[in-house]
Amino acid sequence: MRTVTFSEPNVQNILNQNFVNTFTNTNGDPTAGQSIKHRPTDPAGPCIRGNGQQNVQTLFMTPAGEIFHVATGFLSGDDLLKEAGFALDLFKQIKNNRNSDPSSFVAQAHRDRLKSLGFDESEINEQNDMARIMSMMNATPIGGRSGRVPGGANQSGSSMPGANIFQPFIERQFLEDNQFSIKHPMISHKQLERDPTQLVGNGQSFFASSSSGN
Amino acid sequence: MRAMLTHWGLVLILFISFQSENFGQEPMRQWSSRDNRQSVEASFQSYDPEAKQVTLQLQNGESLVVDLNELGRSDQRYVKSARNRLGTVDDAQSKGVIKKEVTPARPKHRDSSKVTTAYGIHWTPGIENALSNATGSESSEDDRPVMWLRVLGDLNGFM
Repeated sequence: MRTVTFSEPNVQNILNQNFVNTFTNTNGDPTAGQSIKHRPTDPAGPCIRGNGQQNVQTLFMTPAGEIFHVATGFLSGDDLLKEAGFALDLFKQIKNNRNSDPSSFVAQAHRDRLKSLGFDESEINEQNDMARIMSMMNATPIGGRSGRVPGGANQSGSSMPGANIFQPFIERQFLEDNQFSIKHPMISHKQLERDPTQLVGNGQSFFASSSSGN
Repeated sequence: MRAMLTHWGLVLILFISFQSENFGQEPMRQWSSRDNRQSVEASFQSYDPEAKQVTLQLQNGESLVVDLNELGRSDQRYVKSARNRLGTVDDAQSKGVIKKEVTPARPKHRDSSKVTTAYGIHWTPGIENALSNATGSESSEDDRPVMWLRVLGDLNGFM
């Protein structure tokens, strides 16, 4: 994401003009997965949205440290623009609705977002891993339905040709990210740091560039 | 001779009084994060045992709230000894060391001195600094959201 996503002028503009940006190096965190070390100058390998969920997460917070939106794994420039745009709109609504319960508001905003993109109630309300596995097993065959995930120059999910096979993975990742904000709206960053598995689970994903670093 | 001793005695008394008035003010010192990657010049203001948070006062007068366990060990020991000197938050307030705040203080201005730029993005190191910078100085209307990137690796080095 360093050399691919952040190098895009539109991404730089929206982040620098509207957000205060910070980062945390999760090296040493057992939930952070693994990575074949690569330099910033290494050519970026092909990545689809959501790759490396344990390696990288993009979270959006209020100045009080309340997380109101998340996107895990790799995000292309277009993906990040869409997520940052959604987060910015939601933040403005949170500010304008401080008198009402922001947690309910944030949860409902994510439900509405998923519904507007074509996810149905049963998908939004899925709770357990078995449902996730079954959903992936029933994934649409190659060349199937159009994507329901916003952003991405590749609604098919990847810059790689014939990449429809990844669409179910991408949609599943997107759904889970938004489900997180439905289940844990306005969770404090400290709570998440105490237990990142609430967001990233217990899996072990990893990133690799097309050439390995030293 | 007697007049000279009286004069110097008076000077000594004034000196001691001056020191006593400043006795309740904690001195400026270097505070470091637990991983020793970040440091800040500030004075100890108070410790909240329930939240386990330390309030520091920066040189520009702004307040900075930090979790106790985010500080280095020597800083944590300093907090403990400062607590013994100043007592609880209520004690510190009653002694006039800190003012009782009804609402959280807003930063007087956004501190851009520690912002670095990498890949065209302006980064504020440390979540607490970012949250402070995101807080509007006049009102919540000026508040900005924070984009927090949790990533395995250093932004400028190997990942």
